[in-house]
Amino acid sequence: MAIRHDVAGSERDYLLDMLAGDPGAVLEIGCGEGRLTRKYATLASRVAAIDLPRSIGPAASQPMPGAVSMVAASGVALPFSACRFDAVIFALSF
Amino acid sequence: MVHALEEARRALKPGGQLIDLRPSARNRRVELDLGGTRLRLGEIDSSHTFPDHAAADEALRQACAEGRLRAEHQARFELTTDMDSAADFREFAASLRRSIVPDWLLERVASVTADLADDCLIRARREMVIARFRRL
Repeated sequence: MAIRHDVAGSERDYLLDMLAGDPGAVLEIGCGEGRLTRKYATLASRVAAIDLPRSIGPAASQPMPGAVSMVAASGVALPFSACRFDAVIFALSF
Repeated sequence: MVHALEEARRALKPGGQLIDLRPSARNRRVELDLGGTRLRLGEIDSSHTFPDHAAADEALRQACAEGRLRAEHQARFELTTDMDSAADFREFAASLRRSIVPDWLLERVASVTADLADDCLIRARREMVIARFRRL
């Protein structure tokens, strides 16, 4: 018995195609436990992945590939200076 | 998205890219795959999130209309979740935060898989939308 998400790898393929090569410094808003973050993290020079504390949970202390910082923060009050990122990813955020 | 869009733009370098990845405003479809033959079983109800999709679309449309962003590319693809048994499907259903799996669908999955061999596959399909915008 098992549950397998995105066996075909479509989500990763489409995301990497959109990012088109080296995405530089990336801010991901709505990272949850980092499911999507793991799919592109090694391509970015650094990643700041944020979500509300209740959504990040224990994943913030789990090892991640690449230079990833998991930050408990709200997307409406980002703890970052202006013009800091080359790319912003809204991950399943409404 | 709606409330964080301007903050995201502030944090983004001029010319930087904004990627929006989220489900489309359509329900997940659940089907049974019997060695290539598909039997449609039903849908998982996400309709209460559809107004949020519309609000996010409108926020992006407005940002483009006001010259804060430029839409560059959009694509749709299918995200699948494969499960081997009705128990897997129940576990998957319980993990969904913003969607409702009707009881009749849980019962239908259990019913149709009860007498099948091990090689059947329960598959949930969700249409996703990914779009790239450029900060102006």
